[in-house]
Amino acid sequence: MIVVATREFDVLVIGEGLAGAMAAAAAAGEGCRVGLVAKGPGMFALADGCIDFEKLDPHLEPEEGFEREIEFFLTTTAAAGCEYRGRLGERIAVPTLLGTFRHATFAPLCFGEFDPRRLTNVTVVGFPTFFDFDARFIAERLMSKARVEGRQTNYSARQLHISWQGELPHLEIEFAAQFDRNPQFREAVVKALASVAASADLLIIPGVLGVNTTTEELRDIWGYVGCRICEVASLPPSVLGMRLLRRLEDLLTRTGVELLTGFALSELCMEGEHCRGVLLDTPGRPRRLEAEAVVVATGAFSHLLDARGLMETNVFVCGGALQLSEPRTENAIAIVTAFRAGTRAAKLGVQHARR
Amino acid sequence: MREDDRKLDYCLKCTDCDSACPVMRVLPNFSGPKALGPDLERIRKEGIACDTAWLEYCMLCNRCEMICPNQVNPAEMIAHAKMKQPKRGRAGFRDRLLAGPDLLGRLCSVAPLFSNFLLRSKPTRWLMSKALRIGTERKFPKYGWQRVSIKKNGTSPHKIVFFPGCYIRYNDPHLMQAVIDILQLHGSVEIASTTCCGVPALANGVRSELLHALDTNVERLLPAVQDGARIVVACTSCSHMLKAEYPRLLSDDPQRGTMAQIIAQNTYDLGEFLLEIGEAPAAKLKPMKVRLAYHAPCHLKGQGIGRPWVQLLRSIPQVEVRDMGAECCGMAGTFGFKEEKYRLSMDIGEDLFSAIRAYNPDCAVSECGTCRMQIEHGTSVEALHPVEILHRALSR
Repeated sequence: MIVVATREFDVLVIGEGLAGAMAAAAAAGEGCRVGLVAKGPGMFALADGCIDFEKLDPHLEPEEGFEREIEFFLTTTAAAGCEYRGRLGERIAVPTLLGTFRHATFAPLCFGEFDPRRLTNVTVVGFPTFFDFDARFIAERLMSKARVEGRQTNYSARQLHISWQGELPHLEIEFAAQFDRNPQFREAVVKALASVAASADLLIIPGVLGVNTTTEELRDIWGYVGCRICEVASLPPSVLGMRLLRRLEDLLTRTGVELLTGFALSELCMEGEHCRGVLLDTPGRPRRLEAEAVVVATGAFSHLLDARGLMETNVFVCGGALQLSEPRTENAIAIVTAFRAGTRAAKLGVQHARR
Repeated sequence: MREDDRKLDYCLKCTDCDSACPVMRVLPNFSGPKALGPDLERIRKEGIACDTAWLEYCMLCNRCEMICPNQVNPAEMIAHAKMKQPKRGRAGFRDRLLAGPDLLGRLCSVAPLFSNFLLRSKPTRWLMSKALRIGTERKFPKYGWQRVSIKKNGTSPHKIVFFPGCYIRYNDPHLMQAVIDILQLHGSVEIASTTCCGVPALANGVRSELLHALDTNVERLLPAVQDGARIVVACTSCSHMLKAEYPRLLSDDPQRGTMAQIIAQNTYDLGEFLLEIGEAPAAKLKPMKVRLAYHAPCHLKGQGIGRPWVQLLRSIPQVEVRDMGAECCGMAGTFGFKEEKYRLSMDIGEDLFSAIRAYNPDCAVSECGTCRMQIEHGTSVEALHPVEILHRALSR
């Protein structure tokens, strides 16, 4: 096999889910030259980005707690323009497509700033062209749940009429793409939302307000509309997940991380117990990437690399690849273990670079 | 079970591919790579006909294959389905015609000045719109008549076979000369006596044309490679075809599959070659005060070689080059020429156009001939192959 092109890094991160992005950000924060390889975005980009610490395995928690890891996660996401809210020990309620609440410790700010269970008037806004978001169904279910729990919140449903000369998109991602690209379309959507905002404390809408939108821009939109908005994650591909990934990718690029995505890993180059780097399966010839330390963040589904057997001196496994997640805590495990893996790898990377 | 049967089950329906598809972003109701690729493939495999006009809207940019986290190749499935779909009417005839730019090039190059006059005149364009459904807004590229010169450099140990591709061979002799001049600093150069690489045939779903391209080119390139030569390509769609698609298209045939792999292993994009293989040019690079907007073609991104030209151009003193960071330009070879796809093609390119306008460069640079046509059409900014900038910095 002919191998020519070689690139050198201090730290190489494999995987572009939440764990991969956090590990790369942590290593870059320590001043390392970081490369990130991935064959496509992880499951993270498909979901709603909520993070739940509630059911996390207690043995993962060190004596000093998760404070540093969580602090790093919150500052990193805020710097990336995808702010989170939440506090350890508290629970946020996030409405779903099925008219239920899902609970999380931390949730992206696009789910709104306030608890939709404690407001007086909440309007669920449906879009005429969407099939999987049924405003009436969601409002009815939320209302009956509220009555069962003895809450007085009033959930009503409205169908939104957007005055737009073109055809309205039928899928959330198409809608969001239009919203990103077309200022007139954006204006029409925001105006339509404002027209139903008058009597509501919160609007619950499908997750469509752009794939590239930052938290700051979301706040501006709330300002124009005159009401806070909670976006609901759709069936995949979820705009909210793609939005988080875009923002994180953007932050990584800004902090000097080189993204080499799109190609599968063909092997880890081992030299005894030491991992010298990886081979990428690129057309024609494989590409060799060398690194002083490697972070494996390939997720629970990877069939390319069984990370459980990896106990090498300079390989750090984190996130779903550790295979210890219980349901709903994968993201919590990712942000905790990725920060640790990223900083440990960075120490090694910087040491070697100085030598 | 064959490899591609297994791959159908790899599709987790995650729709990452749909989120990456440039057509999906601007065309409401386009079915997208997931539906047209792995979803319909199950039905097609049962032998049930499910022709759909949407197949023709795939640009073969391969972005769906790049983003797929689980090794599914929707673009490849769509391309194969296109080849089985009957070509009807004027659009079908046009697609067959556009699938073979080598034949068009040879015909038009008999009397290039006359061809240029004819193809670019208003009555012809009106006629082409009516008879062939080619967009009247588009101008065909000019055919060149200048001859290129190659010095005999028998002493150099490095043998280079330059694969020009149809656009450079027939439409841009000036660029061809620049590439040859630069390559001659690195070894003895020979121009490949090949035909079209086959990308237009694959994209237009014309099987006979594709097989002709594969047969001819494998046969003509292999002896040179076995003789120790490296194939260098200055068009990223041609180099992507030789590196990525030839081994895939011929994988069913063990003997020619191996030949295609040998060719792929020895094929280099020009920028990749200069950055990774070529020795430092003997002459010094003179400073050039230009602001360049760089656009990375989809088929460059599909090679996993980074952005070699951004690095190469930055080695010229005073050159300012910025990667526009845009996605597909929307031209996709022959796609943008088609009347019913013209508007769509321009809509897809809008992100790139507005990025270039905002940057306000002296000149745009990109490795792909049709990306350059699209940039000039969409922004009125002159677009060049980056090697022409390097050539100027060396020769002044």
